[in-house]
Amino acid sequence: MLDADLKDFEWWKRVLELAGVGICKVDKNFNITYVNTRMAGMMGESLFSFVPEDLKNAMAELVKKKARGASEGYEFEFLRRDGSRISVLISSDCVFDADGKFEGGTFTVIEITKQKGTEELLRASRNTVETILDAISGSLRSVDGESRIAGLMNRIKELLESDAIICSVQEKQRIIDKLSLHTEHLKELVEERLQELLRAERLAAVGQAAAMIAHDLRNPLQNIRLAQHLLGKHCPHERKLLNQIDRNVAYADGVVNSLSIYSQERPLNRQETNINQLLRESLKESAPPEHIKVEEKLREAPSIYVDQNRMKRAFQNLILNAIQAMERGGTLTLETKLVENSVVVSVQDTGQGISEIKQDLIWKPFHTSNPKGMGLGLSIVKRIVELHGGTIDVKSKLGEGSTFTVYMPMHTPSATTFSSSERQKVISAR
Amino acid sequence: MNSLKAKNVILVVDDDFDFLDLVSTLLRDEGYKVDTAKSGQEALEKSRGKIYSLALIDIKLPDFEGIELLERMEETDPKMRKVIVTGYQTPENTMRALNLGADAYLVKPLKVEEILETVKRQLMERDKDFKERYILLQDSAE
Repeated sequence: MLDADLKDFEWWKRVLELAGVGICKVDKNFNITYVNTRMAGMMGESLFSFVPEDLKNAMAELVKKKARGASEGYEFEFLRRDGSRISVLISSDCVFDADGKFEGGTFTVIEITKQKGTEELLRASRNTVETILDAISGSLRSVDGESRIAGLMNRIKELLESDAIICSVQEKQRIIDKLSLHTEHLKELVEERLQELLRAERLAAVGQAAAMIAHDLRNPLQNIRLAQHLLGKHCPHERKLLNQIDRNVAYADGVVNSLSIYSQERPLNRQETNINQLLRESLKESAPPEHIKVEEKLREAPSIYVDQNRMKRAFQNLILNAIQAMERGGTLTLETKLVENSVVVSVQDTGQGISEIKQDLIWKPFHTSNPKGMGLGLSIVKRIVELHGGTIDVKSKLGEGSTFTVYMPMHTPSATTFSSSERQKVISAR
Repeated sequence: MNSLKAKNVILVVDDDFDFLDLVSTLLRDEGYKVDTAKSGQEALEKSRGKIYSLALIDIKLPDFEGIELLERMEETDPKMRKVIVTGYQTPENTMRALNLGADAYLVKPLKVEEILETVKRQLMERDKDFKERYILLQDSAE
């Protein structure tokens, strides 16, 4: 910049006209003596014309503040002649005489309408959210089902439609649309939880009934068994009939035990277990018939902590199911492997398979495709596996066979229910 | 064993008459002496007037719980072996029974061999206990 420029009035004038802020100069009576183009534009007036009265008042107010020593700018809103509102930030450079009387000054005016608008919007949004949250927290205290949720949503809609929430119509519609979406989701969630609860209740009721039946059948079964034994002494030649009684009592005893295990809620007695060994024992005790070929693909797996009696029961149920599914022969494959933090055990058969529709049903208690079965086998397996924190699934194709896969987490041991000496005292291990 | 059978009397406590009848027939056939009681009260009265080596007790009795009977019998005859034989099995019941002095907890329906085996073992244990105590008594007398 040249010194000559600083002394050039025209140059200064050009600078003032170029400035992005409004600049005006007033005399002691607040008559405008100069306004730049930006200022005139803000006013909505042509150059050097009328300045709104309230702007003059604002300037006077600022001068008073200045006189008191305040140096801050002053936020102010006024109406343009065309009726639109404008928010501005005014700063000033005032001249006072020896008595402190205003002699005139230069004012800079920055338009802040847009910032104001944003602030307003933010405040309104906050207000919207707060009002909605208030309504929700009030209603949530008494949410107990679908109707309450619907009521809650209606309340929010009412709020949105009322003046309690300041925002545009489009904004309100957007909120309502979103709410409807969430309402649907919430309704589905409530329905799902309700069904779960009902299922749990039904299972508990079934469990109680099962326990009662099991208890009540044990006494007569004992008596039949004793009577059969005594009868055998008197009529040893009736071997066939006696064996039939014996076999049927044993079968009924099995049913009673299934019911009893199903309804059992005692804690797990976890012990360090070699899963492959447990699987081999289960296989041996299930005694697969000759027409079934057994393949073992048991890979080394770390010990896991399980209730051995119950896990063995689960594996036996899976193996017996597989055997039953292959009446005309087939291959039973037992496999263990490690997948991430789980020991995975699968029991595969090449039997009749399970249709897709039935695959969900098989886990339900008292569902069975075996006319002689109780339909508790797989629900017991699922229950035992889940008690251990594991999961089970099935992959099956009609005519090709099924694979049941158990995923057991590698847990740390938890406290056992009985000490070993106490366990020895319980002679009956069932 | 035969001498063991002859000198020991077994008390069976159950409100199921058929069971009482059948199990006492079974045990008598095997050479044991057997008494029966249909209620807890009857069992207590009988055990006050006679020494039983072994009692087979049901958990559910008409007048009071078999577990309560265990406690009372422990007072009247601490040397009696006590075995719970029941159709009711819960872990709580089992633990309580064992803590209150039951020597075994059996769940019906038992195989005949299991019943006989348990009775035999319990009587032998009792006999062993007696012999050990007798030796101790003799030692302290000397």
